[in-house]
Amino acid sequence: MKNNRQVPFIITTISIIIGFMLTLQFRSNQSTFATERQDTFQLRQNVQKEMEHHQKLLNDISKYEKLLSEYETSINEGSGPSVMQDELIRLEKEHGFADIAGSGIIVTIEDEPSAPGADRLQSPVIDQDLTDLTSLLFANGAKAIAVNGNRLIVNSSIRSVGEGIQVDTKPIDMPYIVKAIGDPQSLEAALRLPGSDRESMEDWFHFLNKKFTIQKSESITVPAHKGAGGVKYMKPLEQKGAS
Amino acid sequence: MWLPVIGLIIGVVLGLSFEFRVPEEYSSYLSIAVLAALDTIFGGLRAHLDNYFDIKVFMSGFFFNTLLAAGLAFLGVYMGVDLYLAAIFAFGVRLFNNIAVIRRILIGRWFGDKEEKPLS
Repeated sequence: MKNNRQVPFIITTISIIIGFMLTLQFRSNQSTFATERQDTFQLRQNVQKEMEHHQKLLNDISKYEKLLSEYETSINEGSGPSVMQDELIRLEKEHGFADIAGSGIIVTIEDEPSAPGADRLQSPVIDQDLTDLTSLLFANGAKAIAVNGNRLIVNSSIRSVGEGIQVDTKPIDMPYIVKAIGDPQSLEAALRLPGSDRESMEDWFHFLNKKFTIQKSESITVPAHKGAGGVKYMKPLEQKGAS
Repeated sequence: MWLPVIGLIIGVVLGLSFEFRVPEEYSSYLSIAVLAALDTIFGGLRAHLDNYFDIKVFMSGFFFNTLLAAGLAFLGVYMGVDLYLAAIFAFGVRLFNNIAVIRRILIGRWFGDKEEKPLS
């Protein structure tokens, strides 16, 4: 063979290549073995690490749960004032410090335009008449009553002062318009039917020579009490324990 | 005679000294190529022992088989057929055949028995 002398070099080159490839392959596999062996070593570390992570997450969970419970309690505490607010609104409505609307009757008492009969009394309406009227209405389920736009509250007064009538120190004039919220049927019946010891309100006002009209309505608005409803001269004691 | 061994050592040293690592997805190609190279080496060894060694055949066989094996594996990956199994099978069978022939030749030489024996 001509190139017989080159053969050893060629074979050497090829063996170099094969050695290189073998080593490469071996190392590639070796590296995977190494990582696998490392894994068994690292598994414990990983477990440790993951357990720490787990612990951290658990701490986070408990922290956030605490936060959540705090928020919930704050919401509950927040609901306290809102409940109180609702209660306050309800009380205001019930006790005349808020406008209230609903079905009811409108009672109008005015001077009889027609010529008064000679036998009829010309006496004016006095406070007692209006008080009786409103008391009767309240007794028959009226939730709110306003006389000429003056809401009656628990300590309202209807008094004759001089010639006129004052409701809570506010003078009112004829015609007297009494708005009452409640069941229109029962309110009207209460005014029309006579009691055991008296004649009916309607008859009484007719007797007083007034025009007495009852108008049922599905929507009546009774305004809020306008006067100072608050406690004026009383103050709560600041000191605790002072009885 | 010692030159191939020296070359092998040089190659191993080179491979160790390089911090080059075959990516995992190509490692199967390299393994096939290594298998093909080994097959060629043993084929060459057998041819040498049988006295019909030709450096051209050896050279071309080495590179062609190596590249063909790697290419077959590559093609197999893209075809979805495990063609590298064919290469492994073929080269593995040839490897065993060659080694068996070499073994028989060497045993025959060792015991001074020149007569041909059938394949066992």
